[in-house]
Amino acid sequence: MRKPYTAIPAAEDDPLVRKDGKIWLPILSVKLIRTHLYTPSILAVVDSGSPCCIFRFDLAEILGLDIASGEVGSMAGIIAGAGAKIYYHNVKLQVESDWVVAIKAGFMRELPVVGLLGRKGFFENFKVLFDHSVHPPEVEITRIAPVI
Amino acid sequence: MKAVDLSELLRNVPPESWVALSPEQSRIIAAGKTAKEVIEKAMKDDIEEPVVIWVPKEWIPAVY
Repeated sequence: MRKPYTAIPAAEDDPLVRKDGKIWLPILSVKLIRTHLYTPSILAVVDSGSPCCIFRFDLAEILGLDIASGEVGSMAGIIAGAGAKIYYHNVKLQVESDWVVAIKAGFMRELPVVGLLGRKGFFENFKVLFDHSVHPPEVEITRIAPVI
Repeated sequence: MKAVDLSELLRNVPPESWVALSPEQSRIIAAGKTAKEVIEKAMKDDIEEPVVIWVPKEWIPAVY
């Protein structure tokens, strides 16, 4: 599946931003599923820099999860400092309308986006190509056949 | 697949809020402090498949 990046707002006077006041990001529409409960479609950023799939804690409530009952870890970001708590739960991840994979998702309170699709859970299940030779750039994902 | 441009739609949404978009991501159905409230508002408006996004404190380039 090949999908153009999605544009989100950005300050027009930022040196990284073209004068059109937008930034293009590799975003996929995903759902989280747990037993019979599922989130609506959420816009998650494909992020090879993230060690796992991480979502905002509010989504855990929709899945009927007691976020604090999950396995607890710490997660640090690019800004140096103490890591924040992350709570892991086993859920299913529906990617666009095509695939469903079982993952261990992390839930955090401090996440500045609704979701990140990271190396464990996403990149281990999909081969990913970021194509910046076109405008807007495109992201192409191919399901990696599961090893049985 | 056509590119989706949410830049103007989301630019003036209050920071640190949840937004429910229409399924084709062309209009805002609801904005609020929790995911639950925007989802409930979308359901009240008979929007069966809203698309949900979180609006950050500032729209600045970020490393996640």
